Amino acid sequence: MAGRKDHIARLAAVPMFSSFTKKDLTAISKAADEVTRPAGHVLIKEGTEGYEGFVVLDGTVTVTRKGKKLATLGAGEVLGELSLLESSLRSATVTCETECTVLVMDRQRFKQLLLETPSLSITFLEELAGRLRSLDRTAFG
Amino acid sequence: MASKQTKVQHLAGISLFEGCSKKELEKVASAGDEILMTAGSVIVDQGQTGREAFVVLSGKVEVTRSKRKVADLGPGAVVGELSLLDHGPRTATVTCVTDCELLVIDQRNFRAVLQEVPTMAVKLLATIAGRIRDLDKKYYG
Repeated sequence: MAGRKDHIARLAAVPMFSSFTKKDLTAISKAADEVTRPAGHVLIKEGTEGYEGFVVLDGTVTVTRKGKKLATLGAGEVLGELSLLESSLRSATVTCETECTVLVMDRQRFKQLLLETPSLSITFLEELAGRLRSLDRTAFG
Repeated sequence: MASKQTKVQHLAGISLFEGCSKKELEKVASAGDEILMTAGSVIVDQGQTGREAFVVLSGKVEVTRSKRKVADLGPGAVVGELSLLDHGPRTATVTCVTDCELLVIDQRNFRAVLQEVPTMAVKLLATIAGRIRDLDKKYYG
């Protein structure tokens, strides 16, 4: 079981969280749970409504879409984070390839956190606006 | 001089603000300044960083990207909305075709509104997450 301090260091290394302060990351890690799942466990199922976001702490996961393998991901990857912000169907299936330790957060706890800490929302908005900008650039040049 | 009601009506038509309440948009309207720009003035310049968004209250503007005309826009159009959230470069140049009345909202004032109204920040996050999801789906299937 990794300690809270370890979680914060891991979160800080995730690109999505790179502009967050240590205080922000502490708040995020407090609202999350660490769980271990066996190989073969389905974390996210394509086409179903999702309410959770995950950060892989240990192990590897496989991402598939319509049965086709898209990627193998490991420690530090963030999965399903958009489901923390809005309700929508999962766009891919994520299965544990090995035994995995992940941080899980659900939408309700995350929203509560954002309402209590508006500065966190602002940092997230900045991060997502940047993502939208680069997707936009890919799409429209 | 546009009335507050007119400003709120224009803000309500902006996709970034879908889901925001009238009360929230009134705060945004009050955080903005009304300015006049003469025909030929450049509102935003592609490639430059900016920290304001502009809502056209009256007049006509022209949008160009890499010197190619992309669109003509009129009252209710928004220019540079993502600059309320991050500090990325302007993705297009927008020039006044006629004399224009504009509502300018700068990032600092906008963030102050979000600090004051955390529910609005959460709604914006959901809207942006949805947009990322849509673009993502469009380009990566």
